[in-house]
Amino acid sequence: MKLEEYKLLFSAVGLIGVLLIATPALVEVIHLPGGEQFSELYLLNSNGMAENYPYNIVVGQNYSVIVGVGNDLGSSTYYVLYVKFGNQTDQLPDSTSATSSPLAPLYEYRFFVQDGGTWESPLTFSVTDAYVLGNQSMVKTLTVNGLAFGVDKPAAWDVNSTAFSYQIFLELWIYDAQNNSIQFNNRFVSLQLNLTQIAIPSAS
Amino acid sequence: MKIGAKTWALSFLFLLVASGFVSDRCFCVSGDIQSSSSLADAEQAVGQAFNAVLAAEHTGANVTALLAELNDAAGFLAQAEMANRAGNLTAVASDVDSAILVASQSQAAAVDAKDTASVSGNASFSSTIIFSFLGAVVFVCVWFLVWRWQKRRYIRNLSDAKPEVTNP
Repeated sequence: MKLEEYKLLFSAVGLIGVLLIATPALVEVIHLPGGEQFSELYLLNSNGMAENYPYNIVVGQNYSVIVGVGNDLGSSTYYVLYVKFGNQTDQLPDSTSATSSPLAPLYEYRFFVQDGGTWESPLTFSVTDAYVLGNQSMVKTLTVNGLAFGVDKPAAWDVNSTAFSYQIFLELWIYDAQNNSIQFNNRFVSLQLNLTQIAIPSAS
Repeated sequence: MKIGAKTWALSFLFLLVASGFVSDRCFCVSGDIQSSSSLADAEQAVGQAFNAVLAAEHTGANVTALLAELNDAAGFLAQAEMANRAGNLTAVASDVDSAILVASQSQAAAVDAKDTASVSGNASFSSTIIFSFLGAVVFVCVWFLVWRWQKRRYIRNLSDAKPEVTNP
């Protein structure tokens, strides 16, 4: 090996060594962009599995699911989760236009999640007051996590799905620190329900 | 004259009832405004506390405990929002007070955490830069000495080498 080649090799190895030693300082000064930033919203059954969700609902009986939110936004985040209840004609959130459902929320969760962390909470619900008249059903009261809400939500008998179709859905909202307000995050999950075994009101 | 007195009496009675109704309505509206304004105060308090925690986090502070505390404030705020929708103004006031109290405590703790993290972060940043710079300078010097030693050895080996005569 010639002296010039030797010199070049030494210089290259020296440069690599300097870069390695300066790495801590470079990390402090240069901030590389992170990966994709997003929030995740999911619904699991009471056993923590994504299967066998409650569907056929009996009046007066409690049903439980687990709702979860994952934070991959790069910093701690303030979330608001609205629980809404609708029938088959009510307007759901629109993913295309990123608009939330116009329905008023019944129950709400407010919580903070650190970056990379997840939040989970049980959601227990029951239809506590409902009736059926011919091809029409009416859910009058829905209890969510022990709080009763008057909903007065009718549903017509759906011939295709042979059900009185209702749905509980959850919308994820995020606090925007710049505007000091919460914004719909365009994420929602819904639980399809079929009202069955109505308690017949007594004649008295 | 008697009819006039009766009319006056009835009118007075009507006005009395009407004013009572109106004042009741006013009271209700005022109660609603009060509850919504106090809810807005609580929302603002929790939001500001979160902004303070976020600032502390960006400075490098460990905010796990602060967020746990702030989660309590957010829980009270959620309870207040639901109580307000249900028209339970007593519960609204109680939950709003709790939310504002816990949020202001969290905010104060977050400001302290930010200051502490800022001081230690600056010291850590300075020491990292200084030690990296010094390390790099020392490495370059040592590497230069190694290079000089290698260069001398290379030249010595070259001059010690015996020339060989080869037949063409």
